[in-house]
Parts: sequence; C-alpha cells; structure tokens
Amino acid sequence: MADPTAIQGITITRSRCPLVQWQAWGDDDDGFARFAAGRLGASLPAEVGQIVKSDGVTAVKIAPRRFWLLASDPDTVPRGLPGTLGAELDLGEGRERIDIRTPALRDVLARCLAVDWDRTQDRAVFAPLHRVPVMFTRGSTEHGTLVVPRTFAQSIADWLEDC
Amino acid sequence: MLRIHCPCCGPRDHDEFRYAGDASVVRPAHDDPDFEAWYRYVYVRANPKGLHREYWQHVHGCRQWLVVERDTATHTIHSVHFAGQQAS
Amino acid sequence: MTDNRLPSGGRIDRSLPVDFRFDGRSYAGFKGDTLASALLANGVTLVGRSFKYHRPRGIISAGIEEPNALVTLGAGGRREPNVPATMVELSPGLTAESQNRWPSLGFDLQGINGLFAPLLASGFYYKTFMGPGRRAWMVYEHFIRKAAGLGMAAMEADPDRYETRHDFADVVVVGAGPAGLAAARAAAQAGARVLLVEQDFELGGQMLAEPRGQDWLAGMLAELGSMPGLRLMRRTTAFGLYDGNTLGLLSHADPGAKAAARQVFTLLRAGGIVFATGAVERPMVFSNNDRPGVMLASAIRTYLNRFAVLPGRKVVIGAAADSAYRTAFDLAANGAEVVLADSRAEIDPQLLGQAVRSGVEVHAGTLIVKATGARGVRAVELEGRSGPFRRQCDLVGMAGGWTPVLHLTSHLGVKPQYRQDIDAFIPGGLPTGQFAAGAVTGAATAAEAVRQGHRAGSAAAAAAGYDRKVDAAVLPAFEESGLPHAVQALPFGRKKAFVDFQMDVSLDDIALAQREGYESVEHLKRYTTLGMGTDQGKTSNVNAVRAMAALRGTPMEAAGTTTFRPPYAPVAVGAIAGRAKGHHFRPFRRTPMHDWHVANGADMLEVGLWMRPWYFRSFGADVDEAYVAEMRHVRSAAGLMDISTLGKIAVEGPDAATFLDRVYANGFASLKVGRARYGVMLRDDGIVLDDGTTTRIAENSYFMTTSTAKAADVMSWLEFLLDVAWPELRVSVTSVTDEWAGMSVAGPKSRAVLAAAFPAIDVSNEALPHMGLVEGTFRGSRLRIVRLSYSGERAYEIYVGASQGLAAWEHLLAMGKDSDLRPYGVEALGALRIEKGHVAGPEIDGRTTLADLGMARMVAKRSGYIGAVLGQRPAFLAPDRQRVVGLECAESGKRLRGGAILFAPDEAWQGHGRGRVTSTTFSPDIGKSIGLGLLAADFAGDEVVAVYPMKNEVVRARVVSPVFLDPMGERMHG
Repeated sequence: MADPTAIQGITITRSRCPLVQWQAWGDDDDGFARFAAGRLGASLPAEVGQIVKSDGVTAVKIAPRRFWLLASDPDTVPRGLPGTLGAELDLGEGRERIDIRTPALRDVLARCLAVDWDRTQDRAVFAPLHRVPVMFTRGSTEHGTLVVPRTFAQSIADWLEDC
Repeated sequence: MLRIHCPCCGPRDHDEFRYAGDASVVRPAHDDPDFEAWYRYVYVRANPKGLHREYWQHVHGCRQWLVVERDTATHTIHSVHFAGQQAS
Repeated sequence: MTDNRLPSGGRIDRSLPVDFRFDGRSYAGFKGDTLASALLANGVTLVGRSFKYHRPRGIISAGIEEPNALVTLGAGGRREPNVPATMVELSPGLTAESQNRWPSLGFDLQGINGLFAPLLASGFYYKTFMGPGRRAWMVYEHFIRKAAGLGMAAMEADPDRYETRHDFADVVVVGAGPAGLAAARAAAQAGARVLLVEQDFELGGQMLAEPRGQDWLAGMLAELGSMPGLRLMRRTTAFGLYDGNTLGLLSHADPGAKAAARQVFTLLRAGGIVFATGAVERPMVFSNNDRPGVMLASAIRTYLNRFAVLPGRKVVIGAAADSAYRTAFDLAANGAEVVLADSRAEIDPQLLGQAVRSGVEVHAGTLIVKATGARGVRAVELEGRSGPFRRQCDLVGMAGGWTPVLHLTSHLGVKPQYRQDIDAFIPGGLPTGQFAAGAVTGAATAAEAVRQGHRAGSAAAAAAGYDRKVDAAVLPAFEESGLPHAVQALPFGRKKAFVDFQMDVSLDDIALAQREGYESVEHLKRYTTLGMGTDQGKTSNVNAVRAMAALRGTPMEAAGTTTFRPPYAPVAVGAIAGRAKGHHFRPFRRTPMHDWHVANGADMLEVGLWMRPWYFRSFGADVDEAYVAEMRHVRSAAGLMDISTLGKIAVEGPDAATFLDRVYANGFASLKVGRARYGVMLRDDGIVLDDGTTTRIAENSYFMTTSTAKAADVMSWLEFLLDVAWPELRVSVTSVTDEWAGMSVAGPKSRAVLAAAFPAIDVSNEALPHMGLVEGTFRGSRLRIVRLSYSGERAYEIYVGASQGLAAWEHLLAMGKDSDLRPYGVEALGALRIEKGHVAGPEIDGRTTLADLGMARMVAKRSGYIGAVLGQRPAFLAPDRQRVVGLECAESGKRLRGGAILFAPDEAWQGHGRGRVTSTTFSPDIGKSIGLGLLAADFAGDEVVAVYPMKNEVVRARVVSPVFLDPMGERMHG
C-alpha cells in the first residue's frame, strides 16, 4: 500500500560523475591560478562552496586549496596539472550523481540535510545526508543535485525514494 | 547541539565534526628524541574550567582541521580558526 | 446530560458540529472545541481517578498544565495514553477513554485505596512494604505494579508515520500570546526570518479568553499573515532548549489533514530566541481542593469566553490576585451567581466598585478552607474576618497567583530568580541571543506583555543582524489591573489539601517528608514524587516550594527550584526516530559486487556500515560448515575474495616519500616504483594504530591501503599531520576507497587464473614477483595488480575502476573456471590469516606494541617515525609484557574461544591471568581448534589453560609458534 504521507511526484535519477580533483601546494598560488584559468577558460572560484561554470565544466572550490572539476562527459574534464603546482587525481569512479526533481524539494531535504535552505542558492554545500558526506547543489526550488560516494549511493537513493 | 562556525563552510552542527583534544599543547618535531617533550605532548593536559583551545576536524564538510576556543563550563564558542593558520 | 453551552459567543465554529465518544458514550461538540471543553459543555465533570487514592477528579485547567483529565486516545497500535483532554483538538470520530479506574469511572473499586491513605503517605514504598523478609517486596511489587500508573501503552506496532526535520530561522518566538505576537511582528519588520511557534491550534494565548481583546487579536493576526518573512507553526511545542540556540520542537498533526505525519520532531537552529511562554495559574490549597468542579479561575474564564461553556451556575472563587475578578465579572455577565473570597485584606477600590455593579459578592480577608461533596463540589466552607461561613456552589475557581512558564530558559542551567514583589520565579540572566517577554517575566497585563514582546523582538532581530525600521507596538485598548498577588498562607494541618494533583501529594505529605529529614527541594521531590508526573509539576512546583520554605523557615529565594530538564511536554520516541528505523536506521555501504554476492548464495554480514559476504552457501549449510570448506578450497585450488572495503588512500606529491617514511614505523623512503611494502603505523604513544600495504605507483604517487575498520581514523590522522604538524610538506591525501573495486585471487592456482583473465599482461614470477605491481586496463578502466598475500598462499590483489568492478569479478570467475576459482567470504578470510600468524584487529586492539606483535625488528635501525620515542619506554620492554603466540587446543572435541584468559595449568584463576586468546579458528590442515593469543613473555612452559568463566569453559592448550603452516612462506613466493 502506498505510503500516504510520502511525497508525491519525486523523481530520482542516478548517473555517473566524471570528476578530477586539483590540490594546490600553496607556494605558487599565482601560477596555479593562471594554469587553471587557461585550462578552464575562466577563473577558479574564490570561496569554498562557490561554483564557476565554463564550457560544460563545473568547477567547485571544496576546501581552501582543493578544487573539483565536474562534467557530464569525462573527456571534457580538464587535466594536466603540473606536479610543481599541485596534485591532480581522477576521482571519476568513486561518486554517483543523484538528481532529485520534485516541487517539494525543500521538504525532502529538510528531512535529511541539516543546511539552511536559504543559503543554498547557487552554492555547493558539503554536509552529511543521513550520516553520509555529500555535495548538494540546486539551481531552482524544484531540482537539486547530490554528489554522493558510490558505495552509499544505493542506500541514499532508497532513502530518497521512500521520502 | 553546538554550532561551530567553520571558516569556509559557515555555522554547522557539531556532529559534522570530529573532536580531537587539546590544541594548546606543543607537538615536538618529528625527529625530536626528547622523551619528556613527547610525554608532555601525549599525556599532560591542563583540563581548564573555562576557555579551552581544542582541535575539531570538519569531517563531513571541508575536512579542514580547526582550532576552536570553547568555554568548557558553558559551551560558548569564542573563536574558530584554521589550525594551519594557528600553528606558529 | 446537562447542557452548559451558551447560545452564542466563543471562538468555536457552530456551523461544524463534531461527534465524539468518551467512555463509550456519544457526545456532540463543535470544531474549535477541545475534548475538555466539549465534555464540560455536555456537563461531564468526572473525568478521571487520581493516581494513588483513586479520588474522583475533574478538569481543572484549560491547557498543557492539566494534571487530572488524562485520557487514552485511539486503539490498537495507535493507542496513546496520558493525553490531557485540554490539549486534544476535537475531531470527527474521536474516541477517548478515561484511565486508572476499574471497572468504571463512576464505580472504581480501587477507590478503596482512600481508606488506606495513612499507609500510602510519602515514601510509602520504603516504609509500608518492608518485610517480612527480603522476598516480601517481590510479592508486594507484583500488586503495586498492577495498581500503579495511569494509562496503558500500546502493545502492537505503531502503524503511524513520524518525521524528523531540520529547520533554521533568524529569530524564533516561542508562544503566540500578546507578547509573542508583538515580538514576531517587530522581528519580521526588522527584516529577520521569523518562526513563530505555538502549542495551541489557535494563536492568541491569553487573548483567546479576553472578550475585550478580540479586535486587537484579529488585527495582529491579519498583519502577521501578510508578512513574507514570517512562518507560523501551530500545534507545536518547543520542548527543549539546547546549546547553540537550538530548540527541539514537537508538532502534532492537524486532525483535519489526512496524510500528515502523526508527530514531527524539528531540530531548529535559531539566531535569536524570544521566550514568550506565558504563565500558568496556581491553585489555592484547601481541603478537598481536588473535587470535580474545582478549577483554576482563569480556566473557567477560558471555557466561558473561548468555548462558550458555562461550567456552573453558583460559583465561589478563592482569590489571591486581581486576575480572579475578570473571571468573576464575566461569569456574572453570563448569569452566574458569584461569590469571591479574596485572601487579601486590601482590595483595589475600582474592582470593588465594579463588583458591586456586576452583582458579585466580595469578601476581603477571606479564605476557602474546605470543599464538600463527593463526586462533585456542592458547597465550600470559608473563614473570613467575622468567622467561618458556608456557601453552596457547583463550581469553585482558584486564583492563587501566576507561575511563569520559564522551563525552556532554564534547560541550560540558568537558575530562575525569585521576585518577592510578584511572588514568582522568573527567568534568570539569559545569555546573548535569548530574550524573555510577557507573563513569563511577570508582566501582569496584556499591554505590558505587548510592550515587552515588541522590545524583545526588535532586540532579537538586531542581535541576528537585522535592523530595519520597526513600527511602534500596537497596544490592546482595554484597561487591566495587575499586581500584586497575596502570598498564600498554606493551611498546614488541614487534611487532603492537595498540592500536586496528579501525583496525589498533599500538604500533609510534604510536612511528613520534612519531619523525616527530606529538606532539600530535590529530596522533597523524589521522596514525595511531587512534580514527577506527566505534568511535571506545572501547577504544583511553586506551592510545593512555598510549603517547604514555610516548614523550614527559610525565604523562597533560598529554597530554590528543582532542575528543569527537557522535555517540557511528552515526546513520542517515534518522533525522535522519524524514518530512521528498520531498513533506514542507518545507511548501508555496498561494494560494486554486492548484488552478485546476494544473487549467488552469499550470507551477508554487517561489518560496520558495510555489507560483506560472510560465507557462501555453496560451501555449506551454515557458517561453521562453510568457512572450513572455503579455507580448504583456497589452500588447494583458488579462491576469489571481495576486498573493496579496505580503506584506500591516494598519497600524492614531491614529499610523499618523506611523509610515508615518518608515518610508518618501518621505512618507506627506499620503496621503488612498482613495488609494495607492508607497513605498520604507530600512534604518538607508541601503540600500534593500524597495518596495511602501500604501493609506489609512480615517483610521486602512492596507493595506501588500511584495514576496513581503521580507514576513517587513518585518513583523519594523515590529514592532521599535513594540516597541523607538517604543513611545509607538499603532500595531498585523498580517500579513494570508493574509486576502486578490489578483489583478491589466492591459492596455488592463482597465477593460472590471472594469466587466463589478463592475457595481455605478463604475470610471470619474474614480471610480477611477490610485492610487485603491474598496471594495465580492463574494458577501458584503470587496472592495478599487486601481488600480496594475506592468506599465505600465492595471491594477487586486483584493483579496477569501481564501474568495472562487477565485470572484472565475473570475468575472473569465467576465466578461472578451469582452475576451479570460487568466491569465499570474510569468515574464511579471517581464519586463513590466523593459520599464518598474521595479526589483525583482535591483536591490534589499541594496547599492543610492535614488540608485542613480534615486529620489533621492523624498527631496529630506525628513528624519526611517529611513535618512535614513547614506543621505547621501559614499560613496553618489561619482561612480563604479553607477546603474540600461537595456541593449539590440546583436548579433542573442545575449542578455543576468543577472550578466554590464559593461566598456567597449576595456577589459581585470579586476576588478569598471564594472557588472553585473541583470535581462533578451526584449522582443516592441522585438524584442530587453533588460535593466536597474547602471553606474558616470561611465561615458562608450553602448556596453558584457557578459561572462559561466562560459559564455564576450561580448555587446555599448547603454546606454539603463531605460524602454523608453511613457516618459510614458500607457498606465496615463487
């Protein structure tokens, strides 16, 4: 029997998550910034949680000197960071992208993500969802995206579908 | 629920962090052979009633190590900084 | 059935009649009624039986402070006991039962308890039921348990849904009475995001009972309804204040909303909080003040004005405060005969004048001393300036003063302060970001409450950083008189003068407790059980403290109050759990091959958050049969194991070699590209933290594995070192546990399996020696093969991108058919390593050193690694330090058990023994139960007994080398 309090009209879509991580050493921030701008076609985000989009690539600053570059097409993700400037790591296998579409997005998230909704517009938020570390972004009030560790993805999808 | 203002993630619940003890103790250099120095670093603690500088790592967020100044009697948090910046 | 409903007036919706049942009978009410108001409207005054004495009880209040009218709602799994009828919103089909009576409310056999009252006084369980003999209590306890308690809980599973939520607001206002409404308005105007929380289903607080305030209330509600930054939560109780200005909220479902969760628990993080929680009226204390028909005066006024119910025609009000007059005048205006006994000698002349005009008979300096009547009050005896007199009545009001509802302000330890001038405890000094306004601070009029609320709301918004201009407060336009209360003189010596109605504690009980030496308020509470009911003493605490103070001769300030703790009102455990129960209790972590295991006969085991195959049913019907067969198979052919759960960390950077050399006890600076090395990490105190293997992939790139259990700890540890201890090192560490699917092929035929599966890769002994690495691709994904052995057989760890994990697994099984490759589970995995003396979690338990584990040689020539200095402390080198040994069971038909304590054969079994068993398994090769253990290094002899007291087991064992098989390690080389 359908759960009468379950949120109606929620669509969960799962997909792969091509991703490259760049970590700057910090002894040549200008050099790093120039290299990154060259590869990305835009300046890297300045603050943690800020997002910059360019040419199908989404750049997110996830920590003071660490960046994630995401794209739907693994071939478009920028690569080639010189070892003198920082460390590059391909993290395209370890995560899944979960897209949530529902008019009740705020309500769904209120049940599992302890973040202030009003502070999530156009920001990437790193927070625990049911005790799993995830990255949450939303462009609208009805569509949100989670990037979750692959080994937890099924568990999180189950949770969201039962919402 | 303690609210800790992570310098890059903003105010967050304390259960996003991992507590790691006294941050006022001086860690010896990795190759320091002085037994006393290591003994003091590992075991000797002041345990104040009042302001306490302590490590918290934001494991569910940016994973940065932070130094938090917390009043152990009231749980009031007076300051939060990146640990890397605090180290002198 | 009497009809107490007035023909017009009230805030009920007369266009929506509602039928309900109470104790099996049908009644009618209206939408907007509570169960209590509907019962009173129908003339039902007997609603319960008291806890100990089973005295008949009626409704005394109109709010959450109700101690008597507790009912059970619902049936089966939905059953909910101890619900105050005053808090139940009337809804169609509501069914309620009274409690604590048998066979019925009207004829309750347990009323006989009243005859035994002297035996049931304070602390009676410690006094009345002592002996004969110690066993006697168990007999008494059986009967007491049956007689104890109020309602009965459900025995079936609860089918209703509960929710938990996270919420945020700049300013939270608790309470939507005049102060709260004013605060919310001001804060919202200042620009803050405001959440207004109200326990009732209607907003207005005391204004709901004030006919002269209806215009003001309507205007405020209309204005608030139009403010975008303001959210309302009705039917929501703030039950706890926690650190960080966090509030616990409990919301009850709107009975009209079909699909709602029954209860919702919200954890609310607030910038600023305004407590506008109001005040609760105090009862007057006199003999039989618990009779049905004796109510709080303000409650009478609420039933009259909010619910259009006139609960009596001949009313006597005992008063210590001006607020009683409002009730008196409203009653008189609705045709009741009112007598007001004011305990104060001096009365405001304006009130006296109005009393005369209204026809209210006022007696100054007069107290009610006793109520008479059995099932309901019929008359009262009074004591006035000219002596005693009597009045007949069917309703008695008590106006004993006002007690601020300050619980929330005190949950974090702020002690309330006593104010002599209003004879009340008010909130103590609140920390930054918290404000109190209205009756909770002692404000006596609605206008004062509004002024305070307005100031508090503006201040709270400003504290949160919002300071837009705020309009002046809108004050209600009627006059009210306020203070002061008289201090009630308590009638010690009078019988059955109740202080705590719910727990049946009278003035006599308090006097008795004090005589017996229970003087502090905390002792008084626990000895008499005063204030420990579901109402938590909301109507009794202050009268109790006053009684205690009077008996001890101390002032109220010194008497103090008991500690206030959450929850302010009951919270269903279901609400705290929300949806995190059963399957969703915690998240599950699955490897890329999880579904394959489940579909292919694996019995799955929860290992922390991971799901791992415990054993495969193709090897045996249960774990004991299967794991032994799996072990045999690995040692004779080839086994395939899912090792994806191991912690994996990418260590990158020009200083990575230096970093690893410090972090591991054994050296890593010399590790060449394409090679792996077993490594042990110590803690700063010299104790072993974890072991694992690190492979050098490239000049500045390493692939580290840790144990499954310690992965998170090691990750944080490495991050600490790089962030805090050695920030100058150019090293980046990243968890890649989820990036790679991991599987190991182990056994004599393992090389053949690999050669068949990866024909393009040279897996010969020369190209891929023990501890070597080769890289390649598998279906476009990165592939790493490291030749490592955990089982002691020739073995290879294969890592491939997680998206290809399942494909690689199935490919290996297909290509390994000729070699009889079969999957095996974690039970066998753990058993195989024991045969080879490999230490793991049970030996690396946070108490053992490298020397204890037999690895002292690893660091013989090393220094500068973590743990080096404290690891060499004298205590760790003591001769009786326990070291890893092998143990072989010496008795056929018996087995060794992990945790058993080791003693010498002739020793008495006392103290900590000489060691303990850490890991055990049956060894198919040796044909015995074997194990690893820790045994004092100076233990002479090779025989021990392993003692397991909890199962009364004693097993003789031989002490042997921990490497039971293949001591030269030939099987894994070559």
